[in-house]
Amino acid sequence: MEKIKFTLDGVAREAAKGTTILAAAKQAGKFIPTFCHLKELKPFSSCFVCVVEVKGRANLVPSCSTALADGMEIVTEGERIDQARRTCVELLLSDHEGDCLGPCMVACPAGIDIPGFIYHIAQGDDRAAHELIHHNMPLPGILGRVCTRPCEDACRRQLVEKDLAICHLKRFAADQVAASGDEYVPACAPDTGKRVAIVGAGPAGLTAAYYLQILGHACTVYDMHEKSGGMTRYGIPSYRLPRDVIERETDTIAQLGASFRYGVRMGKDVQLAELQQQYDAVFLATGAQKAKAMRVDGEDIDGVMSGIGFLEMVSRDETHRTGDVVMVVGGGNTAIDAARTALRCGAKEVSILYRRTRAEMPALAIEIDAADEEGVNIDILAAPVKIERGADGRLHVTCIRMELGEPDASGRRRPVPKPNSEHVRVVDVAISAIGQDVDASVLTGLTLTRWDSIDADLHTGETNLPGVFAGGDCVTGADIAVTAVGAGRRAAIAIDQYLNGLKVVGDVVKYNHFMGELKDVDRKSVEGFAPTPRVPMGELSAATRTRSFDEVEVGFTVEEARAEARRCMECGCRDAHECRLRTYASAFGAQQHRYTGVKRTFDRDVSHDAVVYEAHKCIQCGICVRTADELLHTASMGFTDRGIASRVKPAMARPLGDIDDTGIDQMVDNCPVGALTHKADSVPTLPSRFVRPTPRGK
Amino acid sequence: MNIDLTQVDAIVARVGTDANLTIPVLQEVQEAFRYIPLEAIERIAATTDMTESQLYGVATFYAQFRLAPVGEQIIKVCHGTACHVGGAEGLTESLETRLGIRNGENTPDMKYTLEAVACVGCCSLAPVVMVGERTFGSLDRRKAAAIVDELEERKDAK
Amino acid sequence: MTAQTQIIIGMSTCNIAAGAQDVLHLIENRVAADGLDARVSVMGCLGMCYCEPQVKVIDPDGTAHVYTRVTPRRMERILADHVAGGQPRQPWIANFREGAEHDLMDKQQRIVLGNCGHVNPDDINDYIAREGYQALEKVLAQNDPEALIEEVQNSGLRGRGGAGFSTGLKWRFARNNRGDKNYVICNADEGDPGAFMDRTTLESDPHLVLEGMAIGAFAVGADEAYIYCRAEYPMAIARLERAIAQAEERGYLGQGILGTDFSFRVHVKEGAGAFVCGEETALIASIEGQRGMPRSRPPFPAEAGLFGKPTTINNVETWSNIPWIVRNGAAAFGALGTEKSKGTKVFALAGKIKHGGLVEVPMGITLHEIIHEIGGGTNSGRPVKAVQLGGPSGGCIPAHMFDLRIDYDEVTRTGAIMGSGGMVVMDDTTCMVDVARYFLNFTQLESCGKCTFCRVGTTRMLEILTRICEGEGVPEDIERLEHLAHQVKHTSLCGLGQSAPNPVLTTLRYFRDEYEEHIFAKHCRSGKCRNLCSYEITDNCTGCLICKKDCPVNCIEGARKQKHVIDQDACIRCGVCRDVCKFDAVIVK
Repeated sequence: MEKIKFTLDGVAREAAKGTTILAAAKQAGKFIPTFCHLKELKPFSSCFVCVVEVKGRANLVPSCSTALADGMEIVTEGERIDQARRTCVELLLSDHEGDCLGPCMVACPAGIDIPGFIYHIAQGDDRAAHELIHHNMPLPGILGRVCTRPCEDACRRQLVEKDLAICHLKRFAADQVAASGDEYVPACAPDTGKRVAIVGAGPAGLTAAYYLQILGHACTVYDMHEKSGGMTRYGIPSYRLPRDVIERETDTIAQLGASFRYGVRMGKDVQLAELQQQYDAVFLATGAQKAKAMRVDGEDIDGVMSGIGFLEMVSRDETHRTGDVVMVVGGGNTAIDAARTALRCGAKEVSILYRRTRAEMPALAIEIDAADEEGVNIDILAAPVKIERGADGRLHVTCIRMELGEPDASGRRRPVPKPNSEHVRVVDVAISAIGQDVDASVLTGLTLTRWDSIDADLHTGETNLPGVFAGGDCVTGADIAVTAVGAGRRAAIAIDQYLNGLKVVGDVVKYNHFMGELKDVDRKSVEGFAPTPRVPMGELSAATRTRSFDEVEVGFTVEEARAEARRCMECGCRDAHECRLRTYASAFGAQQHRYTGVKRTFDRDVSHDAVVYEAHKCIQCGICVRTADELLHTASMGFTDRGIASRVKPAMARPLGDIDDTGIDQMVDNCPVGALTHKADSVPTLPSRFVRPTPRGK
Repeated sequence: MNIDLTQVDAIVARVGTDANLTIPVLQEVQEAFRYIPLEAIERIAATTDMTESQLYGVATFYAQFRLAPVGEQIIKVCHGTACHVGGAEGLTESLETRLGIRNGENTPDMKYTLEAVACVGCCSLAPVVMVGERTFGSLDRRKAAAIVDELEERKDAK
Repeated sequence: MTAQTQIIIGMSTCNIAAGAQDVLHLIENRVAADGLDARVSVMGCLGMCYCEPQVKVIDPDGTAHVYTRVTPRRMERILADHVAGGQPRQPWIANFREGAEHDLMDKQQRIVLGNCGHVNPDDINDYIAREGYQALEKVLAQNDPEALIEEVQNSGLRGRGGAGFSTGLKWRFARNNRGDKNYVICNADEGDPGAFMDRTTLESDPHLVLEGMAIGAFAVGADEAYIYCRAEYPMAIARLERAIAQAEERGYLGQGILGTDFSFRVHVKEGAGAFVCGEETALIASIEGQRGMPRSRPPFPAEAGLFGKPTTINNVETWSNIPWIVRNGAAAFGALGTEKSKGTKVFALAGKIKHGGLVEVPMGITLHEIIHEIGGGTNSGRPVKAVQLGGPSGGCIPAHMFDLRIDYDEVTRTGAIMGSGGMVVMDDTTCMVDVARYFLNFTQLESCGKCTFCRVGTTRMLEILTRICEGEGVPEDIERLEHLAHQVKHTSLCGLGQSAPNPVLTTLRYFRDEYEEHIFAKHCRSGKCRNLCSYEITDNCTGCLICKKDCPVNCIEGARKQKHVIDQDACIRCGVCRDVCKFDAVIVK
């Protein structure tokens, strides 16, 4: 056989005559990306992502169809090629519509595979759901009760009627597994001999411990409190989060091998430097524990306390009795929790003072509603200016009325005091719940931010000290629990890399194509989903619940959970895990919006029994057309129109269900993106470094 | 819509059944029906070596082919370079106003279709409009609209 | 033959568009009715399209007179005074070799257009009478394809369609690759807006192309050919088909040509409207009954072309040069032109040009000579701003570069291309950003949609340009546009995509200030981009009412002999007032 001599990236090589550059590069172990090439098919050269440089040619050439010639000098890498490939991908992205991942999942700071676990619940496999949740989040019992649910805000089901009860479903799965008596305890990698100190047994610390144990590293978790859970225990009342749930999930982590050392205070009982010495790595997750001051005269007098101080006290002793009249200042979840807790501690009259209006309150709307139902008086547009101990021995709080002025930096309208509206209110207890600050000053040697929080990389948790990582509220300032979980998980990955002597890059973040905010999403994408009301969560009546710390929300019944799970539209792409467009977009650092313009309209064809065709995802590689033509001889798919309007369509632009579907599975398998997919393949589970993905579907 | 398929069969019999004959066959079909009915494509595919995908792909690729009926008269406004430089856009606008339709549309009575076309090769008379075999050159907005008046008069005269 | 007056009327598409049909009817009616002793026949286009319809009257003594801008009324007078009365109507006669129009012909050198206007395209005898088919006879008599290819190669002839590849070399590849079946193709899919050289050649002298193709087929060993012609050229197609029939009848085409064993059949294939089919692999796909989607080369058509067989593709003008080269020799051809660009080039002069039409000039002539001396400058009387060369694949060359010599390499250096020869002249009422947008709009619509860069890249570029023209441009747009232009140029599958950015890149190169003006000053100096300009009437206004009358939205106020005023709120900035004003009183602000 005749041989061709050529050079590939400077190395002289030989190959049989007729070999393409792409094939030759592959033989030489060089990576060249391609969308439109499939070795069973004739070269087509439509995608142009496979371009290489050939010396002497001004233009880049498609390697899939260019045959080697004697003396050819080929270059397969370099800036010019990278740029062309990235531009190619970005141009395709600019004409591509769809979500790689469900928007819920993207919104979740822990990145839980939400459509995935809900699918399992809909299928009746709660344990699989529970396990899948654990790929990203080891505290579903806790978070299933206290999460503020950014996922639900992003839920596309709102375009049909109402967002899905994602959080309740997550709790349901956890409760089901717990009720089975067979707790889920994942297998751990063999002990690596590495030891990690984790400071803080809150959501971030617990999460990091969970994943580090799975990866084979021995963790010791320090906490200044006497029990685990951090803010979830000491800042959230038990009627929202029963304590046995925290115990259960902490126990699992202990069963994985983590040890816990309570009552140890950083800076006092142990120094950071000691931990650095004793352990191979340190993860700081000390939270944001310091209550913000109201900066009001008299806030330090007896009878005035902070929201978290009050909640922590009650959480230690639920028999605590508070005074008859309680005023809570603030509009966040802590304020609501404090007010509702005060009711349960015997208060006869509880009011919440908030300086803006109800619409601006940062607390969850359902929590505010629950407080309302329980008889908490929500007094908006008011703020304290002075607190004094009156002659009657009670607290005299001078308040002032506010009105909303111009929007401030946060976009919310700034409250401004209304002149001459001062008035005095008489209360027994005043609780200030206007937020918490970080106090990391005891952690010597660490670089802090100007807010006194730890200056750490948000993706890896790395601090200025080698081997010392940080995450959660102590880095971000007071934030929601699920954000801390995400930080704990990412830190575990980074710490593992660090312990293995690898470059610390943290979790791999893949490209994610996003259809946009709800208002921007093509309503065609939710066509065909019949309105089905959201299943309401059962709860204790307001009258009953305020008399005890019993859990207010009773949880979904099995039927309710199945019905709610079935409402999930499984947003996200069936091919997200294998899609080559996504893979290359990730590899080349492509941006979805570098090139913008008229986008493809949503065009989903579900007429076929087994296959879905989503023309808005098609990249015109023509593989299905050529598979039908060259391999199947059906000509069942073809190109139509031309230019930017050209499309791949079933013959005569008929519905897919009306064509000769001989070999359609092969066309689906050959499609490099998610344009042609099998209906049975539900949105796929993400591969996890921690747990082997559970196969689904079919 | 039901069409006379025997006409299609006659065209196939005359032009041939080879897979490479899509364009001449479709051209004759369009000549006969003034557009290409989908039924005709199905018939051709059923009786020749040409496939539906191929025929439909070809019919939607080339500018000459139409898959929907057109007006009795097609008013073609040339948008070649010389005509563009000479104000072809103004002619299209003027005709849109005169006919009460947008470019590419048919009048409701199906008398006229307004179509912007690529260069018709009469650059020295730019800007030009073609109606059937007739070319109207050196136009401006007013003269373009007047073409319709003239076409209407001719009709009335008939 | 008895001496008889001949009346020959130009019946090309351009003549007919100008009204030749009515004139012909009149001539035929009158000659029959009045019993005039005259032979009536037709001719193609003389190239002076700006003054059509044209009628040539040849006196019995052989003196020829060309009447221009002939209307039926004028024709009646010509018939009465000249044909019947023997008195030529001098004022209507143009002599292109005299006076002010002297340069119009004398700067030209006609090899391809030599017969245009001198033969009846429907009569093979006319062609034969002017050395027609002598080249084919010579080639068949010599019976030496290798020597023939050598001759063509030595002539230095380069493809007249686009890239300018050596024709002789192309033939040699094809000959070396020849197999059991070989084809030649004539690319007559003249899709460039603003180009009409091929149409005129085919309509005016169809046998020339056929002879060139027959010679080429003999050289490469082909026995079958396709002429792929735009469906928009029905007259060219009809004349070609008639010419083929006549040539077959006379033994110049068909089985055993001129008694040799060389056989050659020619088919005319009508295109269906796709600019991309000017690209040879797309053209082949189209003849094969497929969508006109190009494929990657190599393999070149010379190795695997039509139906997978070795195929030689040249365009109309290239084929039309062949008989002359064979008759006159490579040296004579090589004597014309520049070192690397030999022979002549046909250009279609259009746009804001006084003498619009076809010109054929020796390579090496300057743009100035073509536009000002042959073309007579602008028809608007305004200054020339630029000339667009090569259509959507070409570029805009500014007036200050008009000393540029026409030569493949010189033109390429400017960022434009010789292309097929469209030459559109622009004056200062042309907006260069709009011109770039216009061409990109064209290529974007004509993109076949196969490769990513052309399909999506040109769309994104067009969107940026549209934004700029509509006054929505942002500062980053220029850089973004330029980046994308380079990407599309270097990473597209075929010539369409690779050259689509040229109009953008050349205008960015020579008229960047206009882009910046659109983006930063939100101003279009030419008055073309409606959101970026306003029209005003100056004190030059004499109050003649003309603009007021012609305003399509009746937004001009003013009485006779009083200065007119434009109601800016109602004005649609169409520029009609400026076009019709005889006193330069309408200006763009």
